[in-house]
Amino acid sequence: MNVFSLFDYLASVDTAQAGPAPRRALLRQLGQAAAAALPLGLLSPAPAAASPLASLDQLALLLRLEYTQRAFYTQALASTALSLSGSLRDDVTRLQSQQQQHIDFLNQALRNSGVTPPTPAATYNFSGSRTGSILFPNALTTEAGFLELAQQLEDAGVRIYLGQLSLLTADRPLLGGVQRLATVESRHAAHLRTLRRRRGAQVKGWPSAADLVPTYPVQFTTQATTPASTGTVYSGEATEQQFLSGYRQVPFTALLTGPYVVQSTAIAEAFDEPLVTQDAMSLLNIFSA
Amino acid sequence: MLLSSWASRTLRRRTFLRVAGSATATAGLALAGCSTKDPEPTTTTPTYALTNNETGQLNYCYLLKQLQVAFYQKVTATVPTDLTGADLATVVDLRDHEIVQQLSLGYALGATAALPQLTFDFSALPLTTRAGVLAAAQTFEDLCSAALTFSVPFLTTADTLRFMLKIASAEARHAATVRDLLAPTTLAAPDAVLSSGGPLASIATPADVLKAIAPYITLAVIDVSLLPIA
Repeated sequence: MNVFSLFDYLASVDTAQAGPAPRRALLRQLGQAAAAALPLGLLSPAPAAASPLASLDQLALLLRLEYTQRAFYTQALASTALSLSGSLRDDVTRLQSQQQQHIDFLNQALRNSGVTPPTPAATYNFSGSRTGSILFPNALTTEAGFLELAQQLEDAGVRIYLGQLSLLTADRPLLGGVQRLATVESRHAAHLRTLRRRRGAQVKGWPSAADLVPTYPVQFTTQATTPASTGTVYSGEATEQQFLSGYRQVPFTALLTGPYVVQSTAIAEAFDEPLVTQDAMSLLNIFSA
Repeated sequence: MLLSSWASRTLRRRTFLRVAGSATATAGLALAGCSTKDPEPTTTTPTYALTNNETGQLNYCYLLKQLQVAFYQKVTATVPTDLTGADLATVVDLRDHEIVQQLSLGYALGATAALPQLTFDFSALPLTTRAGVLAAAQTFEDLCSAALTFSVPFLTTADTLRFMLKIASAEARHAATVRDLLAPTTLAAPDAVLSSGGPLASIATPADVLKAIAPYITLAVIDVSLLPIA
């Protein structure tokens, strides 16, 4: 099922004056809210209650992200050209299995809300040719090419989670559970960077102005600028503007003096930045329908 | 020093930190009768009770950042001789990120509501070798990542949550990076990717976190019993 047609359908049923109640009733008609135990007893706290409809779009997008990452690792492990072996193969196997368990979590969260979770795409194409040209020629043929795309996908995953997490506030227990997935995503991303660094790539454990830009960058049309422009996984990561509640901007220059002087790259590095939903979708559209 | 009453606390519109002093048991000595021994000087250890609101929650994060800044500042002030090159550069990066995050939280809280600058004592940790430094760094990074993973979702102001999510994410990267510095390059142990060994990140309640870090906090007691846990 195409996840976005599901929500188009739900939106069309929802009448303007009705508010949230009829949508919830519709969701209950789609299926029983399952009180099933979660796979492997992973979840604490469990999203046993039905989530507001507002949460479901976010879960569906995160599920699509996880399906994409799982597919990449699965294809890499199966690739005879790549022929992963030794500790790298062990690492990728572990990464793949953790993505699978994230998929299980997200599927269960959706089922608990009475929704049939969206299924993975029929195919995932990591050469980038869905866009009309081969964007990642070595993604499944050389170790360096594989790791470079893996790093970008994991860094993108971190940013996509950040974007969706702040939209999950209607269901606090669910937010707590998804946060635990997001923390794992951040650990994955840092670990991929370590793997590349051990093989001579000039990258830190976090997006940095000191990183060498990818040879084959993931690029998509971003709505973050007007007019729309080409964004990468790292667009906006170099920002030194951080805003607190009440539109207060953190005055880094004034604060970071005396014993708190830091390297010039530190301000931007200290914060990971979210990717908005539209950009997340544009990015994932590179690899699947 | 007066102790605030619990009842009056809940009536306040805005709660601030209160410092409650507690006198040590010098009364016993005073009742010892005609002793020629000089009375012990009274000491008071300030207790900071973190309140069940955004101020308290941010102060909790601020406390963790103070701890990590103090730790990394100590390490970079006296660098072990076998901590060099790229590893040292990474530790300096970690320190600088924690400084940026600590200062941001202090600014967010404002001078009145923020915890004071606490003092820390890491002399119990073996910090004279690369291995000792990285082991301690990993302990603190894993602990703080688990703490933020657990506590950040309780923030209710949208902009504050958005801000702290970024810091929680950076902290997780720290934890994995330090773990990788310690891990052998050829083995992929079950916990090579995650300290928990599993697909859901470890979490730690404020009570568990304070139990772990209290030994390093000098001259102050932090009470986290009011922070949300569900």
